[in-house]
Amino acid sequence: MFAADTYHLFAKYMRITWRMPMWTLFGLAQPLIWLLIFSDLFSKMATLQGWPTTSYANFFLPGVMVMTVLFGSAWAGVSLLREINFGMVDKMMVTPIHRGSVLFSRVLHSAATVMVQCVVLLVVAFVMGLDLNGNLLHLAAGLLSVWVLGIGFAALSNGIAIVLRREEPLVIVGNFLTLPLMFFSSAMMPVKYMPEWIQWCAVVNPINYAVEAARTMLVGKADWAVFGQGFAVVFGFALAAFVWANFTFMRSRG
Amino acid sequence: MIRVERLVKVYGGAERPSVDGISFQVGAGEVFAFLGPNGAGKSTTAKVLTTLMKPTSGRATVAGHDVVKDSRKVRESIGYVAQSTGIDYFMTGRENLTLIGHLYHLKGNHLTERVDTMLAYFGLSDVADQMVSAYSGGMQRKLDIATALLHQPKVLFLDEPTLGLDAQSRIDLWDYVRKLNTDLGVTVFLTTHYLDEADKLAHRVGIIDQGVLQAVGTPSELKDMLKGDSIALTFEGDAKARALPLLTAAPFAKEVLDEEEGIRVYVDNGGETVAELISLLAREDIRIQAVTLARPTLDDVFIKFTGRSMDKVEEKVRPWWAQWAGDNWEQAQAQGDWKGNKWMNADGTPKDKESFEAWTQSQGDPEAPAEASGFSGNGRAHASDDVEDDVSEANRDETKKDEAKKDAPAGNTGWAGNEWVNPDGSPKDPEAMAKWLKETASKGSK
Repeated sequence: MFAADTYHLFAKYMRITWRMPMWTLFGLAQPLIWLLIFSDLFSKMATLQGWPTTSYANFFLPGVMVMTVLFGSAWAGVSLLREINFGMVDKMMVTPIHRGSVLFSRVLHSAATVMVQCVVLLVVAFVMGLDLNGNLLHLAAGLLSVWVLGIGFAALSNGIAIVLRREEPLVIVGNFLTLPLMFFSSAMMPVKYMPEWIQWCAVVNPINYAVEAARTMLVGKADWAVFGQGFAVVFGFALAAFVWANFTFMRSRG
Repeated sequence: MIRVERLVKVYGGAERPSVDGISFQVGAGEVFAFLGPNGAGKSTTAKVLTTLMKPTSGRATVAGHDVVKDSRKVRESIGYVAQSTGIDYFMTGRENLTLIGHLYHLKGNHLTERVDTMLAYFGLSDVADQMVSAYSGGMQRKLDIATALLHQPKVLFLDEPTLGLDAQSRIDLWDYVRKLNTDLGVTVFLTTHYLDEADKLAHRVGIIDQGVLQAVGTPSELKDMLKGDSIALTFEGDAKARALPLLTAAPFAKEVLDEEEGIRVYVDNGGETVAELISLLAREDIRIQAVTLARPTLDDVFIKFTGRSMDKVEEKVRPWWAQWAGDNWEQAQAQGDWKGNKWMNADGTPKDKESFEAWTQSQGDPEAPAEASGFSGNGRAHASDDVEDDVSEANRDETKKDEAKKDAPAGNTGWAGNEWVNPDGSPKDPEAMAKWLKETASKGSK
């Protein structure tokens, strides 16, 4: 019943999200603003020798998607704490639902809202005339890697929330994590231009693999080998993050 | 229906167990109340029985299933209403019920029927499609109970069901609990710290304090463990003196107290005995002025078993910030009570009477200083930070001076004169005054 339980809870979260017009408005506008501002701000970077793409916007599109994931999922744990305090989690846990579906429906929902934003980004990128990959399968694969990263990052946020038990420190930890994770990846700049120590950071940064996997599938020429390697790491990260989060959650139930 | 054997629950890191070896049973169709102050272990027991927590040791079965080994079967046969309503404010009542129905794996028409039945049963049909955020507290509580009854459970757990409700909603809710107990035959386990709630609602009551079950019985059984009902009698004239030996000798009297205003007799069954007592005195032609029959309350029972009144038990719930306050959180919390300061005692009286009176008089208006100081009323807020105590005392010193200055003209309606000028406006030293006037005049002309 894991699938059915997860589906019903997921449907509830989606319904609540769509009832918050503020989310729809700002949630959709924010990544677009990033794409427009950053593409313009860093447009000169594309003139660097050996820059992989024709324009900065082409390079940055996968980066802005990952950025959306990071900023969209980093606070996923806040609402878990709220649900715990309001007794909603207890209410779910006294029903005979599969224990794992409580957290899994939550991370699916976080990843899904991010996915909606990414699809909108893709449409806008098309309108802007970026060098999108014409193959729908490739585009889907690129989005998939971003989606799995969203699940992993939301799971991480939920797990940290349970450990910290308060919203304020969770926000601090979220702030602490997101920006370095993004800068230590090729979201905004190819790895080869980075100082050596940051290159080493990028090697162990799962975000970097998600960006690489998404980039190779979304813009320019698709390379399944690059995608395979990147996706495997992101998937491993997401799985580990969820297993850890769920373990922490179940242990916290006493 | 519920069987608990030597149940112990120790929270991680806690020194004392929250539940310390409790054993009891609840029969099918019973309404059983756990009565105790906050932190007594009521909610913890409820959480173990509803499988939300695992017991540290001991055994518990609900509806024939072990809460640890067969937790899934337990969940299918119980409904649980927690202290905090777990319903979603951004969904309608119907959506909330449907969601919970799905989680209980109800399907299709059966689910729709159950949702409609529950909405009708709790009188929520009219507001079923409104957002829960528009519901009143009582309506939210009812919806909460409705979600717990969707799957027709055998046992319903209610954790402090009327906490935070107004009087009318409470009585309303009691009626529902009675009704669903009789209509649907649901066994009800409820926790409460309201004496009247346990008394009026429960068939049997368990009195719990500091994790230990002190007594179990029907409300009247528990009260009968005391001296019994008290019959207070008042008399006219010398009737009291004649009545006293009669009553002392009477077989029904367990204890007779000679009180200033009359006689108090403790008896087993007050209602029946009072008639007997009146006829006994009537036979001897003793006229009674007034009779008061008083049943002991559950608070009296609580006092008997724990040595203190329920109302007096201090609430010792760990506040959320305790995890950062370390071991000093209790101390820090104690600082929250106004304990007086350098100048004032805790009761608001000044510490140094003499200087206070002198100061008061200098202010003209005796009421002024208390108001002017401004902090005597909200000492709680000021005194709560013991780290800042020194600072804030210094601040208060400043404040006090400032306020005194500010209030001086208001307090002193008449001009009292100063170093140089008399109250009537004439200078104290006319010679010096004349000289000064001359000097300023010559300066001005330059």
